[in-house]
Amino acid sequence: MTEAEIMVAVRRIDTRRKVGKGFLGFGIVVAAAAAVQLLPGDAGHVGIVETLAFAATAAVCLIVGATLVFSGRIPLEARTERISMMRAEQFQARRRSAFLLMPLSLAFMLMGAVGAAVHVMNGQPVRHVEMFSVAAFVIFLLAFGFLVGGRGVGRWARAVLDDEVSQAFRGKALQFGYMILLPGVAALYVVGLFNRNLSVELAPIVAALGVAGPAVRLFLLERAASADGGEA
Amino acid sequence: MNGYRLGNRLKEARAELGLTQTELALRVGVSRKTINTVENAVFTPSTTLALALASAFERPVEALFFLTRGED
Repeated sequence: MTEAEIMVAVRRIDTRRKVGKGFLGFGIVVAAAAAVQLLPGDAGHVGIVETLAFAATAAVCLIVGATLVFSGRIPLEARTERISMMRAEQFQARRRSAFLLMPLSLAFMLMGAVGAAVHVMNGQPVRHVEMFSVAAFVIFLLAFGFLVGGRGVGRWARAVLDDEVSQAFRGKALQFGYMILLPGVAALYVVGLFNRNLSVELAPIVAALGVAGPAVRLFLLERAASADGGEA
Repeated sequence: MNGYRLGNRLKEARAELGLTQTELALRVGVSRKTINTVENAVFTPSTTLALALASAFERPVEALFFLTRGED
């Protein structure tokens, strides 16, 4: 196999895995939506038939996703250092775009989380959809922090995605997040002394800014560093 | 460090060998981004990386890197 053929084969398997991960992610979300319906406390929850339909959809998505993720094997020829690095360089560009798109997703979830906080702090019972929104928001925040922290990088991609420059950039991005979170948390504390409801309602916004800020900073640093200026 | 900056002749050395940034990156085992940032003095490499770069060019590290007085 030539280098170009290996890269085509690898790209095909990477795409298949990506689609599989999409199915897995969707399956997990639908499964969580079905599981939330089993919790007591919401007068407006959906019936057992709808819940079972959700569970069945989730099961199908999880099976399809797992099959796609685990069925494709990267060819042995692609495990050389050179091909791994070329693959990682391509992966890096997609990962950089994800860092910019994730804060947008977070903004949508933030609306749900703030809405739930307002609702609950006004003394109303928590609804299933709010439990779901809050859980999704928290999981997304943690996953986002995990990614910005440089975790979740395969061994084959570490030379590119976890090299000195990447580590230095992540350090700068996380420092930026710290500089957002520190005054944010101090402000929440002070506001909470006077208006507890408001501090709880503002907390998701501060948390989201503390995670989205570093992601955007990391994107900008990586983009500036990768601009080739015709030198690639 | 007291107004010193690390200069480099990476671009010239690379041009002499006819290497692209990607080829040099593959040779050293780092990302092209690393080569780009070191070359443009955006990033100061560690001693390990500086020695690895020198080794890739088969030159002493002083032939590639030098100290210069400059504003930060």
